[in-house]
Amino acid sequence: MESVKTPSLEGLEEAKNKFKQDYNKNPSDELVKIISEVGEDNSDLDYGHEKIAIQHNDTTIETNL
Amino acid sequence: MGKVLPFSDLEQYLQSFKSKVDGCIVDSQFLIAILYELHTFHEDATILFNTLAKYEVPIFATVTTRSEFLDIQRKIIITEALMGMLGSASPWKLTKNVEKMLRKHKFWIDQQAAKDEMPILTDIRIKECKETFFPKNQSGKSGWLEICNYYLKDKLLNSWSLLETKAGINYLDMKDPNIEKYFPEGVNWSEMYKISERTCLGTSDAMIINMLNSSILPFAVSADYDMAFSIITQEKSKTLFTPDILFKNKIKKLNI
Repeated sequence: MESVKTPSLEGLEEAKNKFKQDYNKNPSDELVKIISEVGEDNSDLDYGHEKIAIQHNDTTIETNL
Repeated sequence: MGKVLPFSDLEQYLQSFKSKVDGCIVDSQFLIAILYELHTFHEDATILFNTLAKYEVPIFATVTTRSEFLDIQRKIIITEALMGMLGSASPWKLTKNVEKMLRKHKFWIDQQAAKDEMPILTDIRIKECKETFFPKNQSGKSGWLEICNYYLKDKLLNSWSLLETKAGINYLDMKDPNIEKYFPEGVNWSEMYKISERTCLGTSDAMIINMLNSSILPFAVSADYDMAFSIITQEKSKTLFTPDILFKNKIKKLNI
């Protein structure tokens, strides 16, 4: 509180422009690629791992690891 | 008695002081409104900011204001990022589930904008998006973590920092030894409960009013009806400035 600032119009404009850049940011190709692969039903995804069977009580559950 | 005035009366109010005004306290909506062009009160808040700059009136933000500002900022950035995925010229390739979910939220966002409400997703809606984007994809990456990393990383800290260092907003740090100048008798936190209980005011807003009442600062700025109601019905002599449209439609009739 030693030096109290007063409002700056130029500074506000700078902050506004920076904020606008933040929320108007174009996505990277890599992010577009990642998002193109998410959101579908998990059970349809093949992670490329072997399926194993787990015996649990009387039920056999097939799962991906 | 407290008093509530429209933004358009600020200049006349400031001229009534014989010396420079010590400053004012603002709420988070005001800070968002001056930064975000889609905010309902963007234009009014910008004019008010210009008047405060013209009369060199320092603007102070409390810890509550900062916390709420960062929360709204987070929601704006993620809303813009998610809704931007639906643009016609958008480079995004969305799966059916993601697109369906985003369109549902876009419909709600458009309704909010039509009602002059803030067009930003609520935390419940963001949580729904988070769940839809979360499953790991073939490359083993989580879509939601990647979105947050790309759009939000460092943004909140930077935006607050810009307000302080560029726009000239002062943070009221109660640990600062020089704060006594503004709070000569300190801040009695128990008063906050009384302020909240008196008009059923949210505790965040009650904290802001308690800070205002405890300080030497003569007025505050807020676009919140509840804050205005609390100030106008309190015995302490403080003033609150509120957007003209809010004053005209809802506050004027409360002024006794």
